[in-house]
Amino acid sequence: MSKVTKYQTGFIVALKRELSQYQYRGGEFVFSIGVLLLSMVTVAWIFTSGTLTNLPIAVIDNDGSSVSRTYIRMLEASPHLHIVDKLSSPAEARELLEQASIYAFVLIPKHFTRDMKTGRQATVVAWYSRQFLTISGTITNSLLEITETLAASAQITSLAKRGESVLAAGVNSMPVQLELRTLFNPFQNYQYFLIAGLLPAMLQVFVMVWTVFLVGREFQEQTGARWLAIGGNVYMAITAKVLPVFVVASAISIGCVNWLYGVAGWPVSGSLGLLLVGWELLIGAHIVLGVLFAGFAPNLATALSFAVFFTAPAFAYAGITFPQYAMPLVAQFWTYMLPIRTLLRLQIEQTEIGTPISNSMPELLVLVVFIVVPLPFAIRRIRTRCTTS
Amino acid sequence: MVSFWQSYWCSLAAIFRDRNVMLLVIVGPIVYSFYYPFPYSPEVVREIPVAVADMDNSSLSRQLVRLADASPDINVINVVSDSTELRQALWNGDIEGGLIIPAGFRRNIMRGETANAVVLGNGAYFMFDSLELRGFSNAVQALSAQLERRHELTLSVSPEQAAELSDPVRLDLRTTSNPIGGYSTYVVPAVAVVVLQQTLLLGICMLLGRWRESGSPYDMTFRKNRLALVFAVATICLANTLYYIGLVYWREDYPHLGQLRDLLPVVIVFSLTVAAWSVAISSCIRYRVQAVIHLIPTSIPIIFMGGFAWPIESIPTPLVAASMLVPSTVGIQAFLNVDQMGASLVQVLPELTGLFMLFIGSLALIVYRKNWPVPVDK
Repeated sequence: MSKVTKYQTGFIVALKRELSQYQYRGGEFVFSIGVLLLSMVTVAWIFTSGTLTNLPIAVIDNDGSSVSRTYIRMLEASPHLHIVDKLSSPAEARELLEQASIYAFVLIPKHFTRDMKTGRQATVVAWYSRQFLTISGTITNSLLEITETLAASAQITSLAKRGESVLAAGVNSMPVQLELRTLFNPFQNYQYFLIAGLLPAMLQVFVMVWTVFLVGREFQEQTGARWLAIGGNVYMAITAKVLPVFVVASAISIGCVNWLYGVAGWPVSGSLGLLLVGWELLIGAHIVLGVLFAGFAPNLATALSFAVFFTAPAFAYAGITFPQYAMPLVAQFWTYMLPIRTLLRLQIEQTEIGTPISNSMPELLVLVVFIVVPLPFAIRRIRTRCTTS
Repeated sequence: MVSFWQSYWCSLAAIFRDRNVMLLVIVGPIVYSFYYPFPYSPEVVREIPVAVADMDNSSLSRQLVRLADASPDINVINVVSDSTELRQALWNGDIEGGLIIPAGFRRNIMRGETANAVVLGNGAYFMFDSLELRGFSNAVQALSAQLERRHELTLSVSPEQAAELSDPVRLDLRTTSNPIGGYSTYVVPAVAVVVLQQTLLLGICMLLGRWRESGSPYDMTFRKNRLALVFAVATICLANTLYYIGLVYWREDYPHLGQLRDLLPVVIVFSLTVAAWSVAISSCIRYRVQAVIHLIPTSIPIIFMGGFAWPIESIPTPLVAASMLVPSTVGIQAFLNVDQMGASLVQVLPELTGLFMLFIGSLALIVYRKNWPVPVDK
C-alpha cells in the first residue's frame, strides 16, 4: 500500500469513528446548533426596527403661548421623539426620568415668547439621562436640531422686521451651512453595527467551545491513543476530528453572510468572496485555538472555561462599539490577539467602506497567522498527549 | 439526616472544593471585573483623527480648520488639497472622517450668500459619526456666530445685544446621570449584571452536572437540602454583586446616586432570584460540561434584551415577554435605575416584583421536581 492511500484510509477510518460518535452525541450537537441559531435570530430580531424611533419624553410648558405650542408640535413631529406626558412640575418629571419611564424632559420657561420677541435670549432647559448613551445621543441631537430650526426662524423674522429682505435675512442667519454625508452607512442603521458584528461573535464561541469539547473528551475518556492509532498519524486524526464542526460552522457562516447581504439586502461595496474567505479563516483560527486549548489544559472543564473567557467577551474588544484607537495601549495590543477583531475590520472594509482588495490583504494575513502560528504547537501537544496517555 | 445549615455549609464547601466551579463562580467575576471595563477606561472618545480637504485656501477656510482643530472631539491630522486624498486615507483607516471646504467658500460668504461645507462622517463605526459632526458643526457654528455677530453689529447697538439677537433661542442640556457621558459607565454596570448571572449559572450547572455523574454530598430528595443549596448559591451571588457595586464601581469611579437602603433590597432579591433560577436550570444538567457547550452563545442576546443599549420600546413585544424569564432583564433595569440614576425602592417595585415572581417560579420548580442527583453512598 502506498503512503498516500494509507493516510487516506487512516483519515476515512478516523472520520467514520468520529461520525459514529455523533450517533449518541448527535442530539447534543443538534441542540447546540439550535441554541446558536436561536441566539442569532433573537439578536437580529431585537434590532429589526433599525433606528431609534418614538423615544418617550415629557414636556413642561410654563409659557403656554402659541410659540411654545409650536415648539411642542415640532418635538412631536420628530420621528425620534414621542411626548408621553405633559407635566406641570419638574419633580414629577424627574421621578419619571429616574425610573426610565422617559429618557428626557423639556422645560419651556415662563416668558419664553416675550423674551424672544423683545430680543432677549430665551432658554429652553432639557434634562436627560445620559446613562443610556445611544438613546441620549439620539435625543440630544433631535432636540438641538429642532431648537436650532426654531431659533433660525425667529432670527429671520427679527432681521426681516428690521428691514432686511427675507432671503437676505435667511442667508445672514446661516452664513455657513454644513452638509453631513455619512459614508458607509448612510441610514444610520444600528443593525449594520451590531447584527453584522454579533453574528460572527456568537459563531466563534460555538466553534471554539465545540472543538475544545470534542478534543478534550478524548483525553477525559483516555481514548487518545486509540484516536491517534486509527487516524494513522496526528494530522489525519485531528482533521477527521474537527471536520464536522468546520462543515457545520461553514454552512452557518455562509447562511449568515447570505442572509445579511443577500436576503436582508444590505449593500456590499467590496468583495463578498473575500469576506467569506475571512469568515472561513475565522472558523479555522478558532478550531486551531480550540485544539491548542484542549491540548494544554489539564482537564476538559478547565479547557472549556478558558475557551469561554477567551471568546465570550471578545466582542467588547473588537472596536465596533468603542473605537480601538481610544482604548488604553495594552488593550489595543490585546485586540490583535482576538481573531474576531480582524474579521470585523475586514467585514467593515469589504461591505461598508469598499476598500480595494489589496488594502484588505493585511487583515486576511493576520487571520492566516492565527491558524499557522499555533498549529505546530497544537499538533505537537496532541501527539505527545496521545502517545503518553 | 442533616440539618438545613449543615447542607448549607456543605454546599458552599462543595463549590469551593471543585476548582472548575470556583473558576467560574468566583474567579470569573473577578477576572471580568478587570477585563470588561479595561478597554473602555478612557470613558470618552476624543480627538478622532480627521483630515480637511481645503479647496478654497482662504483666510476664512483656514480659520475654520483652526476652529475644527480646537474642538476636543476631533483632531485634524492632515490638511490636503483634494477629496480623493481624503478617500484614500479613509480606506487605509488613517482617518475616520473629514471635511471638504469647496472652492469659493470665502467669496460666497463675502457676497452675503450661503457657503457650504461637507462633512464626511464614518457611519461604519458606532460613535464616530455623531462626534465628528459635533466637532465640525461646533467649528462651523463658531465661525457662523462670528460672522452673524459682525452682521448684527451693523444693525444693533451693543455687542451683547448682537450676541443675543444672533441666537434668540438657546437649548440648555442638563444631564441627570452619567454627567461626562462615559462609555464605561454606560456599558459596564449593565453588562456586569449579565456577567454575575451567567458565571453563576454555568458554575452551578457544572456543580450539579458533576453530582449527577459522581454523586451529591447530601441527599437531594429532601426539599430542605435543595433550599439550602439555593441559599448557599445566593450567598455567593450576594458577595459577587456587592463586590461589583461596592468595589468595582468605586475603583472605576462610576458616578452613582443609589442609597444603600434602596440598593440592598435589590441586591438581595436579585441574588435570591439568580440562585434559584440557576439551581432550577442546573437540575436538568446530566453531565459536568453540558451547560458550557450549549449556553455560551445566549449571553449576547441576553445582554441586548436588558434595554440599556437598545430601548425596550423598540424591541418586538414577544421578545420582551420571553426575556422576562431571564433575571438579568429586569435586574439590569432595577440596578441602573437605583444605582446609576437614583431611583428609590418604591420606583423600582415593578422590576422587583418581576424578579420576585421569577424567584417564586424557580422555587416551585425546585420544590416539586423529583429528579435530582443521588448521593455518593447510595
